[in-house]
Amino acid sequence: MQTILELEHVSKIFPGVVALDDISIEFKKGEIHALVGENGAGKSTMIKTLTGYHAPSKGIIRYEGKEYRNFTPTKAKEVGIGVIYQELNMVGHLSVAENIFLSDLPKKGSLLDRKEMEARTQEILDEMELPFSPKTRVNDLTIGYQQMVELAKALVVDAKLIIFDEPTAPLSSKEVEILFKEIARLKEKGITLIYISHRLEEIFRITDRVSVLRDGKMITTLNTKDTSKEELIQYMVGRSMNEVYPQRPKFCGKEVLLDTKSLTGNGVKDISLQIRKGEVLGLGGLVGAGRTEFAQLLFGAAKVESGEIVFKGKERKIQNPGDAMKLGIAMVPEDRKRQGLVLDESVSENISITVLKSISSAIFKILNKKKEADLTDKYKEKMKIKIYSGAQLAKQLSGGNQQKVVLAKELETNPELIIIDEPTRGIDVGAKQEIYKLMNELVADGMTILMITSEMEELLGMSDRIIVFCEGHKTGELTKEEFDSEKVLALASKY
Amino acid sequence: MKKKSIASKIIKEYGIILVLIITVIIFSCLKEKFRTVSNFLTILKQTAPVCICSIGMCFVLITGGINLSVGFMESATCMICGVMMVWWGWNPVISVFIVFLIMMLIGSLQGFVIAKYRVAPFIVTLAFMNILKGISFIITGGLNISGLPDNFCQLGLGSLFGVPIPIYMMLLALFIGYFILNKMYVGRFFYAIGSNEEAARLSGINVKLVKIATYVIGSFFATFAGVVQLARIKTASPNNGSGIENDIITACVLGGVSMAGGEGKIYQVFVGSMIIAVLNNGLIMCQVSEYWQIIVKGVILLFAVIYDMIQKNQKNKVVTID
Repeated sequence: MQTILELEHVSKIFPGVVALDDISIEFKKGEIHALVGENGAGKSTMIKTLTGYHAPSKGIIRYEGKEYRNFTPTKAKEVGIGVIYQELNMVGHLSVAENIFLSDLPKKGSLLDRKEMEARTQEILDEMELPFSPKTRVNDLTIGYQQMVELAKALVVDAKLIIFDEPTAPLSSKEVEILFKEIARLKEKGITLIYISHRLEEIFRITDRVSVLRDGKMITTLNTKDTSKEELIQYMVGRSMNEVYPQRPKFCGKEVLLDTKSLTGNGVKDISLQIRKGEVLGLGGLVGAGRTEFAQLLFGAAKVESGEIVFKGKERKIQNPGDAMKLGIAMVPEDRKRQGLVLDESVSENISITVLKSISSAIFKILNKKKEADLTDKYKEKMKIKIYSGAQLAKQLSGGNQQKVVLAKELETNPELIIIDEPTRGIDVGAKQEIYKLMNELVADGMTILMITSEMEELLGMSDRIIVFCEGHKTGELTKEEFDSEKVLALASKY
Repeated sequence: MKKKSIASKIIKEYGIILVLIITVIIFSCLKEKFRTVSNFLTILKQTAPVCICSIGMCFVLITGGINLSVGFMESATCMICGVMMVWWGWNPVISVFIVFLIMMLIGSLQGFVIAKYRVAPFIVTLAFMNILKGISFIITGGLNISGLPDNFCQLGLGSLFGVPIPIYMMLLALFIGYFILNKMYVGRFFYAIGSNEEAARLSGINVKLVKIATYVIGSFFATFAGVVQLARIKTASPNNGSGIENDIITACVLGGVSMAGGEGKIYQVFVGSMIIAVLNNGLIMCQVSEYWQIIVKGVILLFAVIYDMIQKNQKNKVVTID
């Protein structure tokens, strides 16, 4: 078979991170080629390189025999590379036809030729056997059909290679079948497909070959029918632990601090789990497995539909984050820039925000700026936050220091349970170690940590116990003795 | 290099004060009549209602909202006061107290709709602007109410130690605004919500309640301005506050309160409203026609918002480099 697209020794280096490390891979004309890898293995960066959003730092992209050093989004579209992203890229208020032709509207003179546009759309819809009219508003379609419209958009410009980035993640099982039927049809037409998915079953069902990425490196390419799920998982995680985690004594507490009973809501279903006093409970799973959503329920940031939260022996109704803080639950959110900090405000203002009332006078509620400054000094010393003054703006700090500020503001509420969502995302290695040490100190002081992390090493290295989520369900629980990356990954891709 | 950056910082931070000073100097050079103590007192007195109302608007803008209804809130305040004091002969103190209650209730209703149903503040307050406008006209069928009690009008026309009372009222309002925003801890909540609502919510702040409070504060200052205005002109007219929301928003933005939320200081509101007042006064003295004055104000507002956006974009750049 002929090769349509080839990467030769492609690297992509971001400041401080090698996202793609000397990748060589070829895609054959008409095949369905799967890309698999853990979170952060480099799949997204690779797609963005193929579609021209990132120019490779090194290496060559060869497409239909032509060599490209610097691919641009326009170029990629021109030569026939289409992408269906997980988050769809559509103007919801416009019709199906308008969305499909948005970048190249058919014209009659200088006016829009609506008839022509709708007729051509109808043709495509018929070909794809889709049951809605070109005039339908995109917002009125289900996610599955919206995805089909996205696909139609790629087909109308004669895409020869279509990349699917986690296409089935938002779909119901019925919609998945429609998608697979469509994929089979595309294959018959001779279109090459690159298929990215966390769901290994799908890969075995529809793909011809599969390539495994790990830590930005190309590990191997296999014929799908010659491999197995177990083998793939081994390739995906098979690495030595290169991070050293600070040790702490073995946890053997029995007392239950928090207990959820069939907790449902915010996209998670029927979660029953226990958090023991003084442990670090790791929540593992793929991105979008519902771990953050579960944490939001505990923290009162989202509504519980059914089920109970028992905290310190009593059933609690947590309506909002303020309630949670009063009870002794704090949360360091996933996205510190968007959710954790007020970037335009000073470090002091960010730290004191959770406890302003308690550092104010009884009458007139006048804020005591001296106490506020003391607070900043306390954490600056305790956590070694690198600032020259509390008046420094939060946005001027490095990722690690920002994370410390978020941690400080949460700790000041004196929590018994602290939820830390992605404790070290986007932080350099040195600061990571400091955060780990801080977490150990907190546990030594009797605090309980619920840690959500997408980094396997961190999960295995820092947890006393691991619970794995998949698609909003709890799929398993591992004790320290059972810790094993393959087990975690198998549980995380159970559905 | 460092010196330069400090200088540019000062200009950035206090540039608007320089603009005010320069405007004053220009008019002083042009017209002898302008640079008299009595004229400055007149300017201050005239700007008092605008400045007072702008303080409330400042709170609203800081949280990322806007309040278009303040003008007719002033009108409604005047009309209701007129009815109570003139038609029914009620005690001015009680009347003023009641009108504050009514307006703050309306403000809480605005805040409730905005916080609870997440409707854009622009639309909600636009609706209330129309409602209040209607109310102001319905009360008397569009007629004025004159003959307000003299003791009440002292509030607008009297002086103390040679300084007109409205100026004291303005200082009081500035102090209240400053106290809430800079001294009381709740002041931080307004800034936090305007800068990053999600982070504020996750920090345990009751965002909905603070938003409601914002519009209550907004209507408090609008009512305050209405009362001072009424006492100053002695006649309650449905048009008393008509269109002044333009001056008020201009004053805030000109002073440096950001339309995007999260930024704004009380002194900036004062400086912004002073610039408008000085322009009004100075242009009249230079015999510029009223219509030209309106154009001048529009142009100034335009430059103020462009400047605001440039500042914002520069800030965003800093974030991405980080």
